[in-house]
Amino acid sequence: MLMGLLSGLLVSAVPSAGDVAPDFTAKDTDGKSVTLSQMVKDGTVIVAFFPKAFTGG
Amino acid sequence: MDDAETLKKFKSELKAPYSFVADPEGKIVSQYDLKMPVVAMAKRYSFVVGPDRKIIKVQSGSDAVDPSEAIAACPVTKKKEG
Repeated sequence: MLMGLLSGLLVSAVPSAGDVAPDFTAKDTDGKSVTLSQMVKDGTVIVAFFPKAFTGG
Repeated sequence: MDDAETLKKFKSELKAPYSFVADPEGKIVSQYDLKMPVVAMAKRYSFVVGPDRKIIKVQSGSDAVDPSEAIAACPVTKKKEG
């Protein structure tokens, strides 16, 4: 646990500009499967993460 | 890291024209290393992803609330949230 915390502090794995975004496949709220590597073929994609639904911002 | 049902309600309340992807187990959140300590929530981040999944722009925290800069960084505008 401590080692995990320390390595997390030393090596942040949050992707930055110029990196290749990690690919993922997931179901959207309509049950449709979406895959990042497929979506970027149709145009630029904004992948946005937020802490929780129904919160401000 | 909301479940699909909650996100569905959130999407319809916002009348959001883009997709919402549920990640209740935080798999995608882990891939991007965005897990908050202790609580089961993701940090607020936006990534503008171009061809070949190359990241064009990253915004975080309060900078990521207003999407206009991220949208401005897109050659073609498409949106999705997860």
